[in-house]
Amino acid sequence: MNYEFTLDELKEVIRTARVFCPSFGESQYRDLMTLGKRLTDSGYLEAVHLIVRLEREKGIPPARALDACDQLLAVKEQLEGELGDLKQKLAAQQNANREAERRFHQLNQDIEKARQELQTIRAERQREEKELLAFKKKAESQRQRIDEDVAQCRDKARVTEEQVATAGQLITEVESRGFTLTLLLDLCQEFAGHENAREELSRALIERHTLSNYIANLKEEGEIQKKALKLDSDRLKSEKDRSQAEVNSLEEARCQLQSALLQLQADAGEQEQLREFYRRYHGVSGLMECLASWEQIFFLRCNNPVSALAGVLNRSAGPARFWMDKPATRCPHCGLTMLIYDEEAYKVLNCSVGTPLRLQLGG
Amino acid sequence: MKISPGKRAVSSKQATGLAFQDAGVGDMSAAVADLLVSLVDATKLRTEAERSIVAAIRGKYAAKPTWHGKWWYVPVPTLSYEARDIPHLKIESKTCLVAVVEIETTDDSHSVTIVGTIGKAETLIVPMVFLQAIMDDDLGRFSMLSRSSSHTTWEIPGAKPVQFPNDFVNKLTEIFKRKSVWMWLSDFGRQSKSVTPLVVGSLLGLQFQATARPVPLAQQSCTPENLVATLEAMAYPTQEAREMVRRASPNLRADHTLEEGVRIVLRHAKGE
Repeated sequence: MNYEFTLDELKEVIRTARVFCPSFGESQYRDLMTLGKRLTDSGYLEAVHLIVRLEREKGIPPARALDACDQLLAVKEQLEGELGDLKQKLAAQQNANREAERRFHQLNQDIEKARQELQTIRAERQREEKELLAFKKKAESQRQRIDEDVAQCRDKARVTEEQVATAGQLITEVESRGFTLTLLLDLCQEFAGHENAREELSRALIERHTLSNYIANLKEEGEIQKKALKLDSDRLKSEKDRSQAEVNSLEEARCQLQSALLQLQADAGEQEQLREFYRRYHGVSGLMECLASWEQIFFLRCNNPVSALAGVLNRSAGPARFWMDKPATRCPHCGLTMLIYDEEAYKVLNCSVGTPLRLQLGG
Repeated sequence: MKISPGKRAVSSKQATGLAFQDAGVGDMSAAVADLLVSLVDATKLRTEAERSIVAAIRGKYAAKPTWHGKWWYVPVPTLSYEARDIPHLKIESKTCLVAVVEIETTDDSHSVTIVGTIGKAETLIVPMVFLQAIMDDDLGRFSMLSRSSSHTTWEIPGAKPVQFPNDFVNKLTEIFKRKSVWMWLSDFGRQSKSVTPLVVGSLLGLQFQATARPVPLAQQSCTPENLVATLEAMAYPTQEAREMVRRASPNLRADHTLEEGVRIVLRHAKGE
């Protein structure tokens, strides 16, 4: 922005200003312009600001600014000397702060680690508590199931709980008297078949005088009966072996007869085939004998295209086929020389086409 | 009303430029229109604006074409400085209508732009002391005679009360926080060139009036320059003051004080 007025404009400015301030002159205007320019210089403003600040804050008038500045410089020098010590203290304090901060971080990390472990333990405890609870539930259900099974078993055995208790008492009583339940049951079984066991036992004692004699007599009778039973058993066993030998010989005879029957059936089939062959080929045996007398045989057919075309429409009008004992040059039917070997005949005989063939009959 | 084809304005800024161009003050800043927009009473002008647009349309196209459009009111100021009674800045503002109109005739449609002045001119008298108070943000030195939501009447010592739109005063206060008087006046374009030295001089005089120690006229020397300056301070034009001093110069002596010299000059002018 150009704030400069022309000379005429400047005169007009001053003249107008004098309406309110008659003493206003060009010098004041110039001073204003100079002040305006200086105000654009930040250094000038800063210097003025500092002097004003010096006066306001320190109470030093601008006239004494330089002396105050010298004094302040001396103070500054002294303070700079102290500044070195303060810097060292600051560095030491900063190191201490860093160390404290490091310890603080370490402590925080330890706390965090402990907290995580505590959480893990808590989680594990909760898990085990759950497992224990589940185990208790399972045990309870199994106990109930066992109770039910026991009840079912009791129902099946048709015994009551009181009976079981009684049985237990009975076992205890038996064992207290020096017996076992097995022995007791054996004794019961022993005497069960005897309606009046006590009388039988007393009678036996009367007859045999002692229980040992009675038992020995029983053993002797038992040995006799055992021997008789063994003889019967041996006899039955020899009879069984003999019968088995007869069965085996009969089975062998049956197998021989069966194989003979199969052989006879095979012979009968072969004879039937021979009879069929004889009936089929006996009529042409003369022709076969005649052909066997030839030195060689050639199987030929005419390759006349007209006959081939006619053969498509009527099989009997097809090309002529014929057997020769010498290589032929003309068709005996149409007289053309368009002859070829009959591949079909050679293929039936399993020979290469055009090979001279000699028919050999069996003896 | 000037009517030209096409849509030449789609925004308020473009309309302002068009209005300034039409008024021959194309170098004026749009900020001036924004400052003076409170001088325009859009409610009062609406009927006249519609009438003017209809008249312009009927003057160019067939009778009773249908139309619709958008229009703006742009204040176009004229700046002047007067020293009589009390030095003041005079802003005379005319309202320019800028309308962009779509016209539909029986067989065609047209877009036109209508530009022209409507309404009465509004005049603002801004005393220099009031302008200085706005610059110093010290309007409290003047008492308010009346105040409404839109206008305030201020009492100016030694002059008639002046009424300003509140919006104008508020905007001018904000402008002086960012701009100097010189920069503000330059927004008015070429017409500010003759006014600026007078306004600046007045404000400088007012500024130094408080700080300068007045020298009694009886102690000042009686030079022709001092005599002319004193007469100018008494609101005599420069040329007239010089002529008065020149005619009275045979009766003036070097040992006269300025007070004696002024009396001689005035007596001489009265005697003529």
